[in-house]
Amino acid sequence: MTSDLRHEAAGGPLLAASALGMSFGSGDARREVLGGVDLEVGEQEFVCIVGPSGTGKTTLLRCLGGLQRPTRGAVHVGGLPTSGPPEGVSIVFQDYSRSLFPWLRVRDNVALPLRVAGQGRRGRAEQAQRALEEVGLAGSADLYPWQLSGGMQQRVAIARAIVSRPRLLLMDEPFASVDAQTRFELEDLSRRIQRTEGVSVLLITHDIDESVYLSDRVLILSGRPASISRSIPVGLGDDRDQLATRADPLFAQLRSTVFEEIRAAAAPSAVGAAARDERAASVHR
Amino acid sequence: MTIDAPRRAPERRSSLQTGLSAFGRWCGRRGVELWLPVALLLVWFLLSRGSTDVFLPPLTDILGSLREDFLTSAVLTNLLPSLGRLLLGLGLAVLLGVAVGYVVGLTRTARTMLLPVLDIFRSTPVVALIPVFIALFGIGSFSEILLIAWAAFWPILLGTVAGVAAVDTGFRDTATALRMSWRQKLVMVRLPAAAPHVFAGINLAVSISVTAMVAIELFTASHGLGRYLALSKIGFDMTAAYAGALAAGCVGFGAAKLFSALERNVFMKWHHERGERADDV
Repeated sequence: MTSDLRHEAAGGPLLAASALGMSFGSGDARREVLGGVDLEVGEQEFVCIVGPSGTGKTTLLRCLGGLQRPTRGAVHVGGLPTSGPPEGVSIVFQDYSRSLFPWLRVRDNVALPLRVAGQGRRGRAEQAQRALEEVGLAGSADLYPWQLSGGMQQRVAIARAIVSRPRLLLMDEPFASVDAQTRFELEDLSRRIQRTEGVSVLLITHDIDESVYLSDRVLILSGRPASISRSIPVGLGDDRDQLATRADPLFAQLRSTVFEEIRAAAAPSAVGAAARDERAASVHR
Repeated sequence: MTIDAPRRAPERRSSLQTGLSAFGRWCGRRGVELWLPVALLLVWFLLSRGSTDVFLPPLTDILGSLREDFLTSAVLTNLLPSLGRLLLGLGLAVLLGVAVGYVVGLTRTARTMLLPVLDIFRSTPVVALIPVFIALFGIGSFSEILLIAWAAFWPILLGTVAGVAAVDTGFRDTATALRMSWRQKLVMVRLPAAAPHVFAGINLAVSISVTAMVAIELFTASHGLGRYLALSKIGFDMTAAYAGALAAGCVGFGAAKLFSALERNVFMKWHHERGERADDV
């Protein structure tokens, strides 16, 4: 099924959102969260969306992943318009404890997407084991998720996301609930998996350093209602290292650029907003 | 460099010793739980010893009847028919309670519409319905099974409604993201997520259904434990009346214990181990 998608997608971007709008409530209580978001993610591209808390990052990801129907605009995956969660797309949620099912052992949690797709028991076990090896948890298959540490549970969630060999991973602040050391490990794991599995990743974070370290391109989500105010290419190369990359002058420069952009968006003067609009128009892909 | 800590020869304990000390701990725990029941039995034994009062037969006589009427082949007529109906009634209640509870639990509208009605039915003492059930379904196992099922239905229904309504939004999002059909969501997510609540309801239902069972059997004196008790009343056999009451108590206690042991160690093992783990942290 994914190969069909691959075929149809030849040329176009893997994921495209156009004029995506989302509002909640009605009448006076109507609150517009997303005001026309345009974005694209290419094949095997790692893109981070960064923005302050409460901007609507999670709402955006839910719209892209088909968990919420946007009030206007459209989402295309592999060139096809989507309604509901598209095939070939997996989501990794921030809160692994509410996403992994506590009544299933690790192996069965990981194999669940295959079970949903109606695959036979033996094939499921083999593929689940392969995905667990990929995230370094081959020995924990028979445990329950709640017997593992937070970082290990998020690894299980990543294994479940890649078990069906998707083309796109949507990750919603996936490392926000783990400690710093584990966070670095999981960042490197995500980059490695993105390359070995050949998937595209769209990852949402509020951490500027993380967005620069991980991605090929950083998108700034800002404003009220929110839109993508800028797209910043990250030319740090494919091989990244927690120490060397973060010490790279280019890394410092990029994080300043992202930071400035977010700060400008947080204190919007009329001039600043106009300048930002101009800039946004000029960098718009 | 090594720091030499004062070392003691490792204590070697035989498996017999560890086994004995584990047994000692177990006895200690059980001792704390059991001293009062044992003391009460002892008081009863001492007070009733050699009694000639018809209303207070000696405990030894009561235990004698209990053994004769419930631990011999007499159990086939005095108890087993009751237990069979108890199981059937409970099973029926689980099937219906979970099915109806699931549908009602799904939508808020259904819950607000139906819960007041459910509260009324649930609060009606099951004993008060015995004449109606007998009038409608006759004397015999059919009306008894239905009455037990009726009594057990409400707690199971309410447990299921609460469980299905409380399914975590994170679980629901995950189910949607995995592109589950509604049937898959039912089997793979909603029912297992609701199961701890459902089982809490069944736990309650077990005790209630034992009450319903004894009550309707006593009323109709048709068979089983209730008939044994009714006959003891007619024959003014106080020893048998006490023995029957003790047997009923044992059935209620045993059924509840058996079910909660099954729940803890088989059906809901994950839930309880997870809970214990959360308590440790």
